[in-house]
Amino acid sequence: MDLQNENISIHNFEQCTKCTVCTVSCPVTPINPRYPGPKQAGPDGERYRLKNPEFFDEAFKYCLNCKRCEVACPSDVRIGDIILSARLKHTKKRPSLRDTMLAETDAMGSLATICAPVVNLTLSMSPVKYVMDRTFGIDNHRRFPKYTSTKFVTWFKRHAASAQKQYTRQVSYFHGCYVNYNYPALGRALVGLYNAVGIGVNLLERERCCGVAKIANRLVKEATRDAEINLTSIRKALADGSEAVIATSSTCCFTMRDEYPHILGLENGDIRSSITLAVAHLSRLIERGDIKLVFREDYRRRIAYHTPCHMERMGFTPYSISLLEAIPGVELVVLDSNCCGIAGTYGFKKENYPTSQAIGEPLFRQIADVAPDFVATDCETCKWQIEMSTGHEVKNPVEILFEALDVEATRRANNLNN
Amino acid sequence: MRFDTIIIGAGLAGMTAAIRLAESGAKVAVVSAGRSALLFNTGSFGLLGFDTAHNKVNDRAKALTELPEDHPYSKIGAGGIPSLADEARALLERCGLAFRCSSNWNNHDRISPLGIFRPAWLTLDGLICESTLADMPYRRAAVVGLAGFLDFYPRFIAASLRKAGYECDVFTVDTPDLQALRASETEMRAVNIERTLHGYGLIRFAEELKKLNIPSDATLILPSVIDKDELEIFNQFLRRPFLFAPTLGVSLPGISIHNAMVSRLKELGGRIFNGHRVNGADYEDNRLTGVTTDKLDDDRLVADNYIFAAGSFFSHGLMAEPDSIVEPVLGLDVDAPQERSAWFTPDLFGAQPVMKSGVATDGDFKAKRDGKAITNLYAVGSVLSGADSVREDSGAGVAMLTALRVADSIIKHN
Repeated sequence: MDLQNENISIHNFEQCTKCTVCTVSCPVTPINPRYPGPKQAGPDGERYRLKNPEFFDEAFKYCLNCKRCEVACPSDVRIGDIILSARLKHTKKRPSLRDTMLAETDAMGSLATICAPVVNLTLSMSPVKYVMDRTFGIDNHRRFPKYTSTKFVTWFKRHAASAQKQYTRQVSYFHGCYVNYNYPALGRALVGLYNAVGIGVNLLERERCCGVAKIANRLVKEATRDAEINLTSIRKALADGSEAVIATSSTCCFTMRDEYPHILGLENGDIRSSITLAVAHLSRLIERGDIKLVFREDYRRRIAYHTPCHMERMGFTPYSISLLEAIPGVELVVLDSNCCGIAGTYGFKKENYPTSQAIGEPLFRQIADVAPDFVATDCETCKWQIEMSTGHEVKNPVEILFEALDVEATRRANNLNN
Repeated sequence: MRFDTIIIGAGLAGMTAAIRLAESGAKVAVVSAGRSALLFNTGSFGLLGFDTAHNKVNDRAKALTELPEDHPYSKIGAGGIPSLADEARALLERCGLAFRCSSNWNNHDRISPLGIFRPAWLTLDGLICESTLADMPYRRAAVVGLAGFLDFYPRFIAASLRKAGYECDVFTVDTPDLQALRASETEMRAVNIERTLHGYGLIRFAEELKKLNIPSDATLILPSVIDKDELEIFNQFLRRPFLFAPTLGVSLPGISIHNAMVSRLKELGGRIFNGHRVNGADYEDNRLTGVTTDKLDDDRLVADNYIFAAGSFFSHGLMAEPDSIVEPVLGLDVDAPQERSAWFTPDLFGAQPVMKSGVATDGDFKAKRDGKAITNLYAVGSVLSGADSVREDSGAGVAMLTALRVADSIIKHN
């Protein structure tokens, strides 16, 4: 019996009963038959690969790492982890220049924000897109997210940092690359929202990219280095009195909670539950009666909520939904939980573009049917994909909560005087 | 997070209870650790197919009274079954599901994926069974398989139809779309085929079917691989009568039942915690006061009542340890033979005592823990002890009827 308890297989793969439920949930297999599917690529193939790595198949690169197979699995097999780990272990080719550039979100972001207007203009010009398509294999249909001239961190240091000390309660914000380089408005909304309920926001001593793009593009050493920096900073922030480390990106949050231990082998059990999404943290505080949100009476919106894959995997969807539903003037339609198809850098690659769009098709159709004022979602790459493919504007729930918030009334409700 | 009732398990039993309660205005949450066995349902529901002597049930009222005392149906009482069965069917219809072979309360014959006629209580519209076959204009059938699709057995189905007095031929169809899908032969599954046979793919499929020279006076019998929203297009191009036969493994009818129930629950405002595994429970004076899940960190799910519908061994509502059968989620009492040697009988096809094991409950389906009934925790569906649902063909009936009985009593007490 002891033997059975101690012999836990990697990513739980021996628990697989071959029921094929995972194959039903895979967004890729019906679109791209070259992909052997989660069961075959995952637990089935793993048995063979343990004996002989020759059984590895390069076609595993078509896996989106959406983890929807893991959510569907009744036996708790970490199918997505098995496939991703196999790719990292057995792929022979080195990551290409294009993949490295797509994965280096911090380096590219830092460079691009220095001369954002020029970069934005250049990246949107069709001859440039044509060249990138032909020479690098970055699909020319894609729109690059616009870079900001003032990084979120710069804004925070200039305009927000000093005001945070007045609050006794503190959280640390993991803003992620997107908020920092492309969309500081979301970070400003987060700070505004927390300040309105009497909680100060601080930044980590050092924040690096969560590493999701590097992991996906097999830059394991680089991802591990970033992850170690983040974990050290998070531990320090918690030791210094932050109640939690909150993120606004479901994928950043998921990567730090689950991919760090499962894929990179970095232990985070001591702090994992303190790394969370702002929507989860806020829900918890509201539930406990610690804080109150008061919303504007004139806010009226029809919103469609899209569940990002990693949000589904974390099981945090109910938090976003219940917070949005709590806004009196919001009519919320929860879309069927389907992958949007972009899967981070996956959809940017020329070879994946048609698959990516075909996967998203049911979601795009449903959004068109629902015809919302805008779409809400917790993931920035889902935002790019949906905005590009449907023309509908997409916002993060934190942004929506803040724009619907009656800041003055909220401050009064939380006993803040000035 | 607070709810009126929390249901653990999103299979047929859990979803039935959740929908019924949500329809009464209750705030419900369903916690679902992975997809349920409902996905394998072939579109037919059994209420009681075989009696205690394993003969096909002809007189259902009589067969119900013969069940042992500890059978879930006996706890409901044979007299209460017909009205609950009607209620169950009405609930499924409110989910937008239509059943053809259910005009009378007795069993009808449906065809299994392996071509065997089996007794059933409800069969989804459009699927092959006794009465849909009888409604067809022809006494001749043509069973069409798909090239490379291993979850469908045209020859077995044809053999059974011949025995039932139909003239029957077997054909195989192939299309470029199926050919492309066969690049991964393991992925030739009903669900992937369904997504291939959409739009133009479906039209090409209809065109290839027409080229097969199938006699014009034959009903086509096709594997269940076409989305019901696409049937109108398919009909337009095919222009001849056809019926679907179920496939093995995860099946489209099973998925469509699951999806219809999920949509209904969402419409009613029910919340589903997808991919959450309950991993802790707090008890106080024989009451359950809250549960935790592996995804919620420090948060608890709290409700007035709880329904445990975690399913049987497949869904890990029950687990076999080397020398005991346990309920691993809430630590409930289990009715099961003590010694492992008493779990089985040597006759492989005979009744196996282990199959009747499950959570112990009182007469109102309140689950027992340390010998005492928990006053606000009910167990329903295949996690219950007392039914050998595979042998009796009673799984769907036990799931829906116990769920409705419990939901009704929760509604009555509020």
